[in-house]
Amino acid sequence: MSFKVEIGAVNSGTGSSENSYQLVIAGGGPAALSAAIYAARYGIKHLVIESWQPGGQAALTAEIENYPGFSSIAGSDLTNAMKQQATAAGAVFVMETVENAVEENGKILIKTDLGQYTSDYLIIATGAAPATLGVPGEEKYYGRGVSFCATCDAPFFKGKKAIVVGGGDSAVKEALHLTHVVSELGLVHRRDKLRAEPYLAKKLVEHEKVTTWWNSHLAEVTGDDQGVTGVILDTPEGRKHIETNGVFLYVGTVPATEPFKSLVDLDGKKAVVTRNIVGTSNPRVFAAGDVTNNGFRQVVTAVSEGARASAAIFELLESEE
Amino acid sequence: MPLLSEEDRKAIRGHFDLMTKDVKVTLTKAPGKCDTETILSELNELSSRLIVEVVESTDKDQMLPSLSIGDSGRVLFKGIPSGYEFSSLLTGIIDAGRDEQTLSDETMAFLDNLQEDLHIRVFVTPSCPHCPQSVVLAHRLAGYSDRVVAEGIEANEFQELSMKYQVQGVPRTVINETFAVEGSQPEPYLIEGLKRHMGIEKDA
Repeated sequence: MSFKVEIGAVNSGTGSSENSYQLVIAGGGPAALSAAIYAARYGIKHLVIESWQPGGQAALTAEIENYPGFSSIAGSDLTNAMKQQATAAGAVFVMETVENAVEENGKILIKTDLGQYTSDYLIIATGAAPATLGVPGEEKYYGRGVSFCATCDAPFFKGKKAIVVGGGDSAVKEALHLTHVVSELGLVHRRDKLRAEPYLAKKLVEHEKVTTWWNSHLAEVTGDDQGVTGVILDTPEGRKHIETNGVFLYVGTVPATEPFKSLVDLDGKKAVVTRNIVGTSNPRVFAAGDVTNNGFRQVVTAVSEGARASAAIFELLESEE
Repeated sequence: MPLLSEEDRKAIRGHFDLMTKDVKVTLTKAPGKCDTETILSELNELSSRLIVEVVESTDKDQMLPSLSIGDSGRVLFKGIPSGYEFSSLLTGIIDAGRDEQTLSDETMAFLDNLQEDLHIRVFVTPSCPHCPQSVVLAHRLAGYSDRVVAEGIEANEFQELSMKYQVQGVPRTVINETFAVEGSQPEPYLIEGLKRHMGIEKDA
């Protein structure tokens, strides 16, 4: 095994020594990192408040094959390179969790687990967390066969059976990653066709280890005191019990907007409602990446939105001078 | 070819510059050269505050390689600190190299009043970006209290132990054989869960 260096998760901060900024960027994924690169290069006095999951959802992706410039790159390598680029450009990071953000006296007040900051502008780039299905057994067997991270947990299923639930890009990419490890892989999707890129979808569906369950729903995860032993699926042919050791869920995401709910308008799915791509209902708050209702959730669009948000704020700061 | 790129070295120097006191890292390993020894020697070049000690062991029952950060013998990592776990190692070194306290007052009060020793095992894999949160938190608890021993454990390398503790997902934190939590638990959640498990009432 080769030694791999990932320094993106180093947490050397004990809070920032300063607490007043022109711009605070909340988040640690591609949208936030891109915003940080541009903010640093524009000379905006800024702070990036990363959560404890550096690189966001992208860092959990085993291989990214559609980011221009790289025919294939591990998600964590790509986000690590972005962070290094941001750091080299002068971006300032703290690893804290945003607990609440409100507007007070024309400033944005951001409270974290370690400190409190005021800022003229805020970019919300906190991404989204994996959604759950709420079916019996899902929570009970989380970490004992039920997983949301094939990149993290695949080694535990070497030579075993697993299923992936979902049909989008994440589901298909992570299912392909799992085919390198597991003996058999089931793919459960509620429709009769995958939403993922056709290139990836074809590769997965034609894989010799893969069995597909179209128009099917996960009804229950079953197990014993050792962990998951199977799943019950609702299929067009009725209920079926399938033996499996692992259940990997990629059934969508929930935007991480809880701390910002009093600051900006959210849609019914808790995503930040954007105007002109990165603007929000609050003129001092911008949003970028998976946290928004912009729809196309890709690294390439997240970095674009992060850059646009910092550029828009730079123009506003210039006009205020 | 060195394991650390020039960009990595620059970034790590920036972190190491925060250290205000010397930190000893002890690597116990099987005879022969290993990547963990190489990475430590590369880190050693980046700060005069880092003191690396390498001990060879032929004890087949010992979990090797093993890293001990600081002098206490309570802040440990078992396995190769590769991938994201390299971040855990660096954070452990930086924490040990300065006197600033990052734990909350509530957590420190809990540790000050501990009536029993805690042995924390955090199972991780190198490709897990949210695992360092759990390892670093465990290390910080052990760094603060001499009643706590914390081990980060690379689950792939110690499969028997992983099976014993039913590790099928990471991070999995197991405390004193009796308390286990899945996923990255923020500090207040872990401490509250532990208090409930230990039958300690929430502060009035």
